[in-house]
Amino acid sequence: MASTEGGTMIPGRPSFVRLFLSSLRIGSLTLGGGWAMVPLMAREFSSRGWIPEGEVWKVVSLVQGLPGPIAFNTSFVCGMRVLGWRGALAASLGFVAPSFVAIVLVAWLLDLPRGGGGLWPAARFFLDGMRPALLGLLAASVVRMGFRTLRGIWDPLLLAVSLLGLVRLGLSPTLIVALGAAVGVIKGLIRR
Amino acid sequence: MSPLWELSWTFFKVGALSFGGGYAILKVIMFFVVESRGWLSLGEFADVVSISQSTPGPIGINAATFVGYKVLGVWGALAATISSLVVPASLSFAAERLIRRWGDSRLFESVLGSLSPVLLAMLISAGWSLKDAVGWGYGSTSVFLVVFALSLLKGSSPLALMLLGGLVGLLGGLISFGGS
Repeated sequence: MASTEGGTMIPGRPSFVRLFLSSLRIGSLTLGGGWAMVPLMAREFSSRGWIPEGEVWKVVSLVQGLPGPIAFNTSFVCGMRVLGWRGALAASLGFVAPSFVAIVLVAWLLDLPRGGGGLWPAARFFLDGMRPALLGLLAASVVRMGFRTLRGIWDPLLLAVSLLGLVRLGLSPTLIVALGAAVGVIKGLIRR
Repeated sequence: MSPLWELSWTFFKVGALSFGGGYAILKVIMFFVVESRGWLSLGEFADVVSISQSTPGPIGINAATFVGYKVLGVWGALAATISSLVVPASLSFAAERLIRRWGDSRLFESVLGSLSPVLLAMLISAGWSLKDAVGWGYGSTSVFLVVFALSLLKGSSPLALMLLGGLVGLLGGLISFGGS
């Protein structure tokens, strides 16, 4: 729905359907996680002249600290900037739909919901082989994140306390996140 | 509580706690879905996460869809997926409208920074639980080590590494299947 101003067409505003289809394309192209999606989104939205590529990255830094998948939050806010609340709806629907369909399809195909009893042996072998690979990926991201984020004495202390709560005491992540946030507020107030 | 409501409320909470993106969310889902509710076994949870590494979309959304489907079919999948996105969508909306104006809120950044040790702890404890879902042997140990090294040193794509693990598992399984 290109708006007209003084008789000239402004190319910056897509229709609901156009925005939905673009998001659908990005949502279905990126396998295995959110971060890979952001550059694609930046390219797709900017090449259509809806939003400059740099602004997409500013949106990323705006939503980075919020809960939720980063690519979902980014598509939501970019959709909002492009077409208001209808844009937010179009972009996030398009983003989620492929992942939804893929999982329902796989779950149904593999018959996983019935506890693997109905699973084909070959699929069982494949999934069993993926488990140590997943653990390897997790271990690598622990090392990467450890080097990137642990600073001073407070961070290792908070890490140790959180681990104690989660692994040994079986506390809820809600409590642990609240604890981390409280420490942040206190540190922030002291620094002022 | 009706099952549909219970499912929605659980994933509403999961969505509210999904800070940091990526694997840190695993612990949150595991806590609510495996440890508290028993909707999935640890092995099933490991399968969901593995599958979600090779399908479109973030793990958090995929896990919500899968658990919802398992508990209450397609409607459950829909309810769980949407519930998990309520808080992220609302806060994104609020951030776009409000935080952009405050710009550089030091307090906000400090809170986020102090969450990273917590997120790291969640990563470690997720791995600590998931190790029990692996049938450890020569094959699986080598897959673990090779994937760890390739991901850390080469930054290989998670999708490729997961497929590698799957193929090794398939080969090993077929060989032992034929041998027995």
